[in-house]
Amino acid sequence: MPATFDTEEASAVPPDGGYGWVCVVSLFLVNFSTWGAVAVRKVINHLRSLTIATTSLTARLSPSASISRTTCVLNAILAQPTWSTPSWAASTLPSR
Amino acid sequence: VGGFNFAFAMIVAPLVTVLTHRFGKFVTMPTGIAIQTSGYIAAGFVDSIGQLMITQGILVGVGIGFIYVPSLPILSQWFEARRSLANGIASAGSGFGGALFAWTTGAIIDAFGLQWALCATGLITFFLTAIATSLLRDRNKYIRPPQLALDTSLLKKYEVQLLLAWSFVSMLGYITLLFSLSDFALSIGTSPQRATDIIGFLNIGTAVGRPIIGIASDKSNRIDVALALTLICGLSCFAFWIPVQSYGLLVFFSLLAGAILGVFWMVNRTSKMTSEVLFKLTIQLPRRSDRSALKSLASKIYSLYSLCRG
Repeated sequence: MPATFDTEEASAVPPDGGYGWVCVVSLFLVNFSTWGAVAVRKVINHLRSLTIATTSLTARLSPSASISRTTCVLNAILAQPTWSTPSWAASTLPSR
Repeated sequence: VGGFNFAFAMIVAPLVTVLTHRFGKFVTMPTGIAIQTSGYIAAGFVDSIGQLMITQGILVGVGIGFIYVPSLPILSQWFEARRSLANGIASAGSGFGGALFAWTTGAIIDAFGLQWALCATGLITFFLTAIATSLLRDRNKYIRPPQLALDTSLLKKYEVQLLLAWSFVSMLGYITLLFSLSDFALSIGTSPQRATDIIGFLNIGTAVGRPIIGIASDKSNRIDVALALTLICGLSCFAFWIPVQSYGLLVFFSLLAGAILGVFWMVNRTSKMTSEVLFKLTIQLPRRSDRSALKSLASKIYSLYSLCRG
């Protein structure tokens, strides 16, 4: 526990600063690596939903998967069933 | 399956509150870090969609709940006049993280493969949350909150009911927008790469918007700011999201939506009335668990909702 913490006014009134800014930084890091890192999952889901028709699951998930994302994505564009349908119709199709 | 993490983080929230009350956050937060990191790393070694769901969905979700929930009440103990600004900066972290992870994941997958992308995420989040946890200090010592059991009369207050209803309804819209915008981008004919970029833009909006909203809330009435932003968010869905056909406009909408989307996260922790309510409802855990009835009911219903959506 830092020394400054104990010498701070020992009252229930929030000090509006001081070590509070360190807490702001650490909560920034908490948010960064919890709700922020969820984006990894979103991207992977997103890519997976695109590649689902073109590659086998083991190929996609194996450590030596050499299929580049661009290839998957290009294949996926060609395989996209919703590609040529109008947007109003496409948006009503079930996704994933 | 977008809302899976979210659903599980909320499902464990009442349990985490109990555990934090009993053992302190220096037990629950490291537990969460361990669960989240193992979730990401294990996700690199799975070979079926079901296992991916368990590792990335459930483990990461539960881990987030264990890390995030104990950290919620801390800033309110440190800040009063500048509370919204402090919360705004802290919650902008999710925007910075989201943008950074969204744009780097693709590159890491290209260069090293999916397994390394997941392991790297696990390691990065492990170190950052470990640093954050060791720096975090609460002021419970000075505040000595009254050890009241649930003040059920609080739930009978009309304002409190309105507030909970608002949070609940906003969350439904929040989840929908947050997790379907990149799929929507595909549906208007955007290329998959640019549709992934939408996730990044949404997070940039959050990163920039939240501190600004924080300053605005501190300068004026927090409830008024929340009202205005909720209204703007709702109107912009009709004004931009429904008619949008071009990528440029969609980027604009995702920046705007990203900035104002999470307003209820901040207001729930910033307005005096709400923090009092939430403090009594979730932080000051009473012996009897009747206090969580309403809150966990709400979180369960919308967990179910997000599960169905996913």
